[in-house]
Amino acid sequence: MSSTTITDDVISKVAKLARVSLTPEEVHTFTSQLSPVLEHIDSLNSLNTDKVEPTFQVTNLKNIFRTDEVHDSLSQKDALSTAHKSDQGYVVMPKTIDK
Amino acid sequence: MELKNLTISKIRQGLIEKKFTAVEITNSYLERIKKLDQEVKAFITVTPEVAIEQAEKIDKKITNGQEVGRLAGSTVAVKDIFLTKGVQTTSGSKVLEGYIPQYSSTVFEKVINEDAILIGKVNCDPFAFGVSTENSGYFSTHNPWDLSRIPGGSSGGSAAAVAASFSTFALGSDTGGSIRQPAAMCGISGIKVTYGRTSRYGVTSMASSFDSMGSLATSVEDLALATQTMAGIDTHDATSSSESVPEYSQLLNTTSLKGLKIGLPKEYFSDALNPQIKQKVMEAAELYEKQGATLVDISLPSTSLGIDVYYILVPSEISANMSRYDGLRFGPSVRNSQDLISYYMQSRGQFMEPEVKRRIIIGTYALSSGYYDAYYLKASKVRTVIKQEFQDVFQKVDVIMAPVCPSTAWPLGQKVNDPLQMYLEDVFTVCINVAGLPSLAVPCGFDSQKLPVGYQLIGNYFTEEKLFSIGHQYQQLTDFHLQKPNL
Repeated sequence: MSSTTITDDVISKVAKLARVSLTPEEVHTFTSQLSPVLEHIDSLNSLNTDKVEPTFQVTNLKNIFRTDEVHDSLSQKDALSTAHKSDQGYVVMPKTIDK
Repeated sequence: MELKNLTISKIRQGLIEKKFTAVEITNSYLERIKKLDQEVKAFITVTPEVAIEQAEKIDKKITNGQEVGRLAGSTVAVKDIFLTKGVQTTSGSKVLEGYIPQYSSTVFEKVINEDAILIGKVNCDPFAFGVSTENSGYFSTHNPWDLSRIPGGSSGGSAAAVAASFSTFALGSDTGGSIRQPAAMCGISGIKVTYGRTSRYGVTSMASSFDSMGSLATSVEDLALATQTMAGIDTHDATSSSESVPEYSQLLNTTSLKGLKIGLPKEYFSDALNPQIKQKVMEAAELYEKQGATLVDISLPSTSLGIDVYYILVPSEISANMSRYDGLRFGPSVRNSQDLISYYMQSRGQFMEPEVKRRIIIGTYALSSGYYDAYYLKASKVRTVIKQEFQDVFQKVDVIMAPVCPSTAWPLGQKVNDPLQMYLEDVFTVCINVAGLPSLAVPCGFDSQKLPVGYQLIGNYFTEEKLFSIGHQYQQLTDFHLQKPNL
């Protein structure tokens, strides 16, 4: 992970993957700001972790199960109350596929 | 009414003894907010109608001789990442401007059910991403002790509201220090509970394996009352813990200071620490020593790697959480997009603040193909090491004592263009979140510019009652927590 090189192209590619449009100025700013951050993070390599297991959950919880029962939830009307456009009980969204 | 000296228990007692009414208290707070919040700028939304309605309900209970809740008549300023049914919830971001939630977060519901009064929604860094509240999409909040300085963050509005006596207590969240750091910088008390001690349901997610919901108040006693209300298992949050919740406020004098072993980790008293802060924290440690505690020198060798672990894992979890935001079901969005992809990209690009985008980009990069092992997996392994170092230390000491922040509140604008410098300010708080431990921030004096200083007491998992007891006994011997700024 050392020799991390962040370029404008890398930032643009990652932004596209993350579905965030950035202006050319933003791309440039992030490139210059993120290089030192990633360089700092390289210090993790100073610790040998070959024999260490990763931690993803800190309080040792195991799978939590519940019975699959129907409970009251938001009404359709409430659920749609915040959508900026809805039609016949559905959220209206831009078209996904071209003909 | 003199609001500066009011605490949760005093207010409840005063209501029962009919010294004042809940409506009177609420109006006093509302007047003070109206008069002074234009300078402090703690609130995004003040909620007078909601507050008066709740206050009238409490007064009616008193008139009818009914039992009132544990938090009766106390006002609560709620960080704007907690969903409040029917009341705008912005998360400090333009992405959610105008969003009116259809349901409330569990912990908010719990404090209202105990007769607390919502006074308003307070400012924070967007989605809690920040350490100074300057990343907010709305405005910066000012420190009530010096209006030219930051209040800390990300729960800066919560801390400023309590310090300015705009509210009896406040709700905040702590993912890397976001309760403790602003509490310390504003001279009040704040608790970050054990991961899972409180429900995360209905709070906009930052980093799901780190986020912890807590409270900020003048005294540790008030935090104990708020925490015993907020804590406990919630079927809506599978990671909430089934550990029973002690009556913290009844246990404030149960941990004996005599013979108590307090560990002082050398890494937290390094050269990075402002000498004035070091002096104040050591004075507090020596006060414990005078009461019979033993100070033990300890070491947590991987402390300096905490920041690096944090700034890999947290942005990674942020990028996963924020990827769910589509701008379709709620929130403002661009109109007339050609297709769905450009709708997503433009809506997110246009309304998200720079820090939100910055963290999404770091996280997406760290999780992207070819980098996962080097960043996310490596950081998750170092997380194990940091956690283990704490466990080893808790074999030797009962509690760990350390400063909350390396510096006191800095001038607004000083670090806004240097994200790395901002990130490094978290150095003394992040490891506690990396390990998921509880930590209590307690005010312990002022620097030469009369800016507040705080220390933190870090405990083993689910030992909040011990932290409250040790912090409370300190506040019985000192009055730093009772000092309030002149506004």
